[in-house]
Amino acid sequence: MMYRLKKYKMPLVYLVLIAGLFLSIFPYFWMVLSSFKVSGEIYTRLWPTKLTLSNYAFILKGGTGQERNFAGSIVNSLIISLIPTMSVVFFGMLTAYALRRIKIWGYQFYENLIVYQMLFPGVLFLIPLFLMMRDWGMINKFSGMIMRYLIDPWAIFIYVQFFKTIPESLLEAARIDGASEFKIITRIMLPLSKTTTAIVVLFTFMARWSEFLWPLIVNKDYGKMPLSVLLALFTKGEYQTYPGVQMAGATLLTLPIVILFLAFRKYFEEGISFTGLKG
Amino acid sequence: MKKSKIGFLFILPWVFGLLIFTVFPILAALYIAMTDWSIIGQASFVGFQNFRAIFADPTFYKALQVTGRYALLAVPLTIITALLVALSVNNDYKGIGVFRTIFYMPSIVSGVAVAIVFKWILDPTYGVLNSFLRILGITGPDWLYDPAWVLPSYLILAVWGASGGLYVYLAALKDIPPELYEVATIDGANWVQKIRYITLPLLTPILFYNLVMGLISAFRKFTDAYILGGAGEEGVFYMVYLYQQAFSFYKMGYATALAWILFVIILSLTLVVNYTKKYWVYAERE
Repeated sequence: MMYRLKKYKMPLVYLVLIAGLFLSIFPYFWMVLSSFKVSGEIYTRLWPTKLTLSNYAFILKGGTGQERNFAGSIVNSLIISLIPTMSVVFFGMLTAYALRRIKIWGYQFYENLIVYQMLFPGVLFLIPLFLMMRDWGMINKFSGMIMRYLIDPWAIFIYVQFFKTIPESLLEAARIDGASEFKIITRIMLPLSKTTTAIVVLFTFMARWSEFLWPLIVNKDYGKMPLSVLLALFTKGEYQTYPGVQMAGATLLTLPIVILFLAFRKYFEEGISFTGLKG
Repeated sequence: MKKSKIGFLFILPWVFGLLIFTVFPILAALYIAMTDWSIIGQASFVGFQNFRAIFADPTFYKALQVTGRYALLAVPLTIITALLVALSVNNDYKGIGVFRTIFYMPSIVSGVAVAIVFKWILDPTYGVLNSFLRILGITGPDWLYDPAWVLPSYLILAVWGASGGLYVYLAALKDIPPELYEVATIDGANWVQKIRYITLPLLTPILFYNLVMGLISAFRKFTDAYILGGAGEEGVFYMVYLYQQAFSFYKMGYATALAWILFVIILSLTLVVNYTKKYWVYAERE
């Protein structure tokens, strides 16, 4: 009996795994497939009789002049994702270096402050920050969507963790050679922290790319909307009956994330331990 | 320039950021919550009037109930699902890496895309789910269009995206010394016993951590609830309610008071994690 159970265990596990695989991937599969279907067949049949690019054409042409410029919104998404990503890396390294390597006066106090800042629930900031952006004239502007995300305590935190591990002798050698502190960051710390930087870049980019609530609040200008917001409003609004276009949009929204994830899976798995804290 | 001076120069941007985007908003939120601030016109100080109004508002209790009920069901469900997934891929079978990768995928994608896709999957008449049930001879419910089925709809979404914790669980499973299982095997323990007496007790710290973090993120749920809604008021989660008060009705003071209440809920949960830290942190290897 035991022997027979062992014999069937492996195929059985695979069967369960494949069932799970199907469930995990089906919504994606359905999304991508539907994005190539003609509207009528999205509801009526799983397998299309013909494939079409019209949904993507609709999106890239900006509809029929309905001020729903999806192609532009992809560029907007890139702007509000890439600028914070670069800035978060830069200020993350700069701050972490001053705290951990220069060990400025009171650095442990600052490090604790960073942890508190990181764990502080952001929901409280939503309205005060919105009113601040309004008073500063940053509503309906990229600056309003970007400003608050230029520095991320989480990134400082993980750079601090990494900088702890770099031997001081490396920095001393550079200092003797007359390198400035800033040069040490760009010439020594940056090349050494490739993995950490990859983690910071990946997680920051993905978080900003998927961002929804903040850009929804501070920007009502269709021309500046990121893809996530434009697509959500499109789906909720008067275009509810365009499932094909919605699926094409959802596919475009998903694609960069999936590609990044598949390409940098290694860093992803390493970064996960930090994201527990990011929550 | 002296090294320490340069150091202070380096942290200056962060200090400014902290003051402008964290400290000041907290102080401002204290004040705003005490006013009848609407987006236009003058704000006047009203003391605790907003809080009194909130605690007298049945919609507030409804939103709290919707969110709390969802949190209580979704969090254990996602933890169990993620754990089962982790256990099933915690081996070195051929191609297991592919399974791990694909099982993790549901949790990386933006809430907007997921919500839009599930909106159509859950469609009562044309949705894939009900079409599938029809093949089995079952008449599916109206999902998001039936107040009684809104919560189950959101639970389906939660369970589908449950694999977010996968790698955390896998790391925790890897940390369990294999000798423990070997000894158990020698003692004649079967796999159920091994999971019951070795795996689960050693995972409790991480399970607890995920429980609290899951509760917090359930209370902050916004994106998919905003897009999907739900019949009656069953889809009005706390954050959706807050958003409506602030940005549909422009009751900034009232909404900020709501944010404070949510803050207290989240803070209490965070403090619980911190308090119990000593029980779960030690298990992690440095």
